[in-house]
Amino acid sequence: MGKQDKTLKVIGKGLHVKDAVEKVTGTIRYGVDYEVQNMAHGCIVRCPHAHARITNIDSSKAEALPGFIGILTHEDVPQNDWESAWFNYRGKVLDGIGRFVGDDMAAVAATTPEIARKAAELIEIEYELLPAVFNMEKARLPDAPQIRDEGNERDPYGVSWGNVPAGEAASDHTVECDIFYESQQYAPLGRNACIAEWTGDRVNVITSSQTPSELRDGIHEALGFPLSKIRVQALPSGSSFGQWWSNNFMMISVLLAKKIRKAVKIELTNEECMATVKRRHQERTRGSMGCNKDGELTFFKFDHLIDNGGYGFKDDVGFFCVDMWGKNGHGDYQIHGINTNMVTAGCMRGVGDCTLGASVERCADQLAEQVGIDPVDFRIKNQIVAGDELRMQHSRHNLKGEVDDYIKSVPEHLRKDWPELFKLSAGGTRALLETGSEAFNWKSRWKGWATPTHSEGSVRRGIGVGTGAHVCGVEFEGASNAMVRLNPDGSAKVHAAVGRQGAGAETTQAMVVAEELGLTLDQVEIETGDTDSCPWNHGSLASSTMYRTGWASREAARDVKNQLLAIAAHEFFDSVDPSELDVEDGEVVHGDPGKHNQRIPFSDVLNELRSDSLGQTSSITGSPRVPMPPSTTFARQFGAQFAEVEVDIETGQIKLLDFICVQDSGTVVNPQVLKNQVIGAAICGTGFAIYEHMIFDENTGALKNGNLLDYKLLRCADFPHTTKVIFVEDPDPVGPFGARGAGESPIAAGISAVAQAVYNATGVWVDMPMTPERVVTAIKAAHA
Amino acid sequence: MKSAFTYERAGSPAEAVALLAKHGPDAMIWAGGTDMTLQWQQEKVSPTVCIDIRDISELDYIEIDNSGIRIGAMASLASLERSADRHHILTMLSDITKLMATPQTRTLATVGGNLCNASPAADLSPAFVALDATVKIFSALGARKVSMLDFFKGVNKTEVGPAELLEEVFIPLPDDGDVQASYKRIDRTVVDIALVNGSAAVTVGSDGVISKVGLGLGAVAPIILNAPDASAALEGLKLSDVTREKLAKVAAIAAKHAKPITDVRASAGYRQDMVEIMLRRSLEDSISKHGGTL
Repeated sequence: MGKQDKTLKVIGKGLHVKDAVEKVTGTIRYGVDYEVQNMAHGCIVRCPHAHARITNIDSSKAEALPGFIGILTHEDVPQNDWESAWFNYRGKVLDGIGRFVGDDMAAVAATTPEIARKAAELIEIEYELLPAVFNMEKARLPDAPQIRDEGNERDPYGVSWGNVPAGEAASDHTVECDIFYESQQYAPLGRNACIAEWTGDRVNVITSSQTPSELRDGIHEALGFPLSKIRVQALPSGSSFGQWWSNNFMMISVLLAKKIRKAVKIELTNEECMATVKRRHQERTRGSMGCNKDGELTFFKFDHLIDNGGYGFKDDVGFFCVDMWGKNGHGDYQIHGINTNMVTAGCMRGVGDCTLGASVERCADQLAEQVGIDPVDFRIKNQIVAGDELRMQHSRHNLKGEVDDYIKSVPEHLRKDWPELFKLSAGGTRALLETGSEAFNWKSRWKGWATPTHSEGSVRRGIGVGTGAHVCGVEFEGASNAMVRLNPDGSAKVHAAVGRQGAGAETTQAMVVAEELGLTLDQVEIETGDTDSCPWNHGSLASSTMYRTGWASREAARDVKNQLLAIAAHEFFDSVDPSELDVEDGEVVHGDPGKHNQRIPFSDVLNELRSDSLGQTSSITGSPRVPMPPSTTFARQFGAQFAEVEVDIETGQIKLLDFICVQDSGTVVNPQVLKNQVIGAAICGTGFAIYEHMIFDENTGALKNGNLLDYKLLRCADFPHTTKVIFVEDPDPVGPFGARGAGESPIAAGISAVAQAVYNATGVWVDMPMTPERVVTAIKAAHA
Repeated sequence: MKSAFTYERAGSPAEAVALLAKHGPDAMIWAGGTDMTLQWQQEKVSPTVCIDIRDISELDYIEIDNSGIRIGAMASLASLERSADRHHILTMLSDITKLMATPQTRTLATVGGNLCNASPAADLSPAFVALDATVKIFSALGARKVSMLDFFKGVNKTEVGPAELLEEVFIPLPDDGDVQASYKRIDRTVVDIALVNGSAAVTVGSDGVISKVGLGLGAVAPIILNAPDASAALEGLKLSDVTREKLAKVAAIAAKHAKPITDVRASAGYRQDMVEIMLRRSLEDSISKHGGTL
């Protein structure tokens, strides 16, 4: 769709991120750093029980506290359900029922944060205790305590193709799995706060969020209040990984401010961030997978449970990681979302890929071992490449109906340039595996399945490879939009509500626009958080930012360019056809300098616009003028990673020795930004593989390791400093300048690479996280 | 709610204990503040008075003479880390400090504060116990000496009384021969608390006979443990007669003293198994440092 013939001047350059100096000097302001004049401070009163209904609230002791301002209870709250992006939350802001230990029950406001906290402690709530359930299997039983009006279990989400029994009959080898995955915590280094300030009947909300537009939608749903009266000013969140989308404490801030008629700020503590907001689901995969004697997959069949906690409502993880292996003709997988009396679970980076994806990878490895094929070759044999069919054909989550309906609703002339739908448009793992195995020297290092590459004393080394795939954003919840404004001086401003979560979107979106408009990065600024100036955008989630918003930003810039060239043609180039003109270094030029050798600065063109001629405005505003094709039906990103680990088989400790990440995100917009993102994902994935897990009290569901001492995150120094990132660039037909998504395939690839490397070192598959104790226990069990 | 406290500043040990006596049991000493600040924030301690002793530079020293190594209570972990080339025992202690927290924290944290915090999982404590260190405790009545083993009374509890101040750690050096020590722990990431740890100190006389063996077991009881029966099983042996099997037996005897619990970091069973491995590896390492072949 986009022309790739011109030499790129901005795209592909490792330019510094726009907020580098702010970050390094500590002047960047996150939600917790912000304040408004005369604001009050709020604190949430939390449920001490796993499941309980309020019978009485006595706030008299808190009211007697000097500095106390007011209290918000469920009786003050409109009983509307609100939904966070992709069903990460569905429920009322407060409804008098606590569904997990730490759930929001009420909120108080006071003159200082300390008084607010003290007042929260003094609120006396009487509860009627309700039966609770923490285990997904038990929550599915007919007599289980019901956590939600809708019931504990969502309708299954599934994809089937071919004929599984026929595939089973054609199998020479079959493996089965039953793997449980613990919850990972987002564990961002920053906390969050939300300020809500009402002016008349309008509310302004200032908080760190990756999804400003979705947050505004949530407030609209919760309050039953026109969108036009809600302004969200999303501040940078820092690393977020899905935690700071729209969260219930933000809704509470809005309602508390309304109740006390005063601006209020609710700032969460580290403990609240870890224990009461969100987490990755606990998940369980059961299934089987088969192949023939040549190692070609014959079928797979998976049944996968995800635990949504109290307010998650999600049912659809993991179609991309299954799709990646979809060359075989017979498959069936079903996902079941189940509520429990534990803290809400939602999407975290690589949702499904890190769990269901890892299960599929482990089964594939076990088949490869049975057949006697090395894991690189087995993947090349069985994973899809550009042109192959995608199995995930439909989705029930498109707000406008099925994907098919959306496709049909787009006029045919606007679809003529679309890539073939339901087939992979570009990329695949093959090139990554080939490039990576060469860089890693795989062929000479590989000693065979369950065979260490080195043994000495109690130390065993092993190598492993893993792959990951993810979509590049989804269209199910609405098409991401962006707007570009050309200023009178020729500089440009992008309005794209993607937030700033540390993945560099504030820089890379501006780079796309700068490239399209022939400007330098310095001449393009961006607004990422203000819903009053930005059109609706899905935000930074589902690896969509570069792909779907980047597409919109480029299309908006293209619209600006078309308007600019039309005016320039009329005013400066003797009314030539505008298509003969182009932009270059901030000036309008003719494609044939022999015909017109003048170069007209953008500011001159805009000055014409200001003085009279074609319009009455002094700036040009651009928006996408064509619909974006439904990218879930063709666009994917891929990662392949290679790892060497050292396992102490006496103590179970795992050391990472060597790591190579190979990434296919199409055209690389900014290699520094992408490298950062890929390594960050590899570290986060490895952390999930070997240490990270939330430990819940079996009797109350309360989090027991809600601090960074006992919740172990990998540090930079735990990861090989020699880690290499290699890009394989297969340009995408739709993404801006050929770019695709990036954030989520690399977390999945590392998990499976490390798991396989540990297996090859020890001869034992260890369930994740592979903590020292679990490794030792698994080795002992295998030798018993 | 976090306690409010008044701030006092002491310029000498005498001033510090006088302030402690004046303000009573709710007064707390502020040395590096790295543990105390956290405990105050988490409302595990509620001091009403905080006595800042960072001005007491006379307790900030690391001195070596023929009798032993003296480490002042106010020596920071960072200065202990930097003392590596002054003595091979300091090299070993320096290696331990590198495992503790981050460089920023080590700059603030003091050796005395680390000991007075009396964490069962502390890194320096098992090594000090293995090295048979003693501490000097200052009070208005003068100084008294307590063995490192007896110093710890429970989780976050020590022998230091309400109007007393830890002054010094003394590590004795042998009159004859040399002492070599080692410390091993199970940790996960580069910044971690030991899940379990163990330390051994082995003295070999000029006659090549092992004259003294010290062992320290950490994170397997409320206090740091030693294992005199295990030590005795090795003492009197010639260095050249020591074998891996022998050390494994000694470690197994020592591990019997452990009384580990299960918590979010590890199970009792894992700690029980690992303390034996940590002690065995510490013994092997100490023997190797003596030039013993295994």
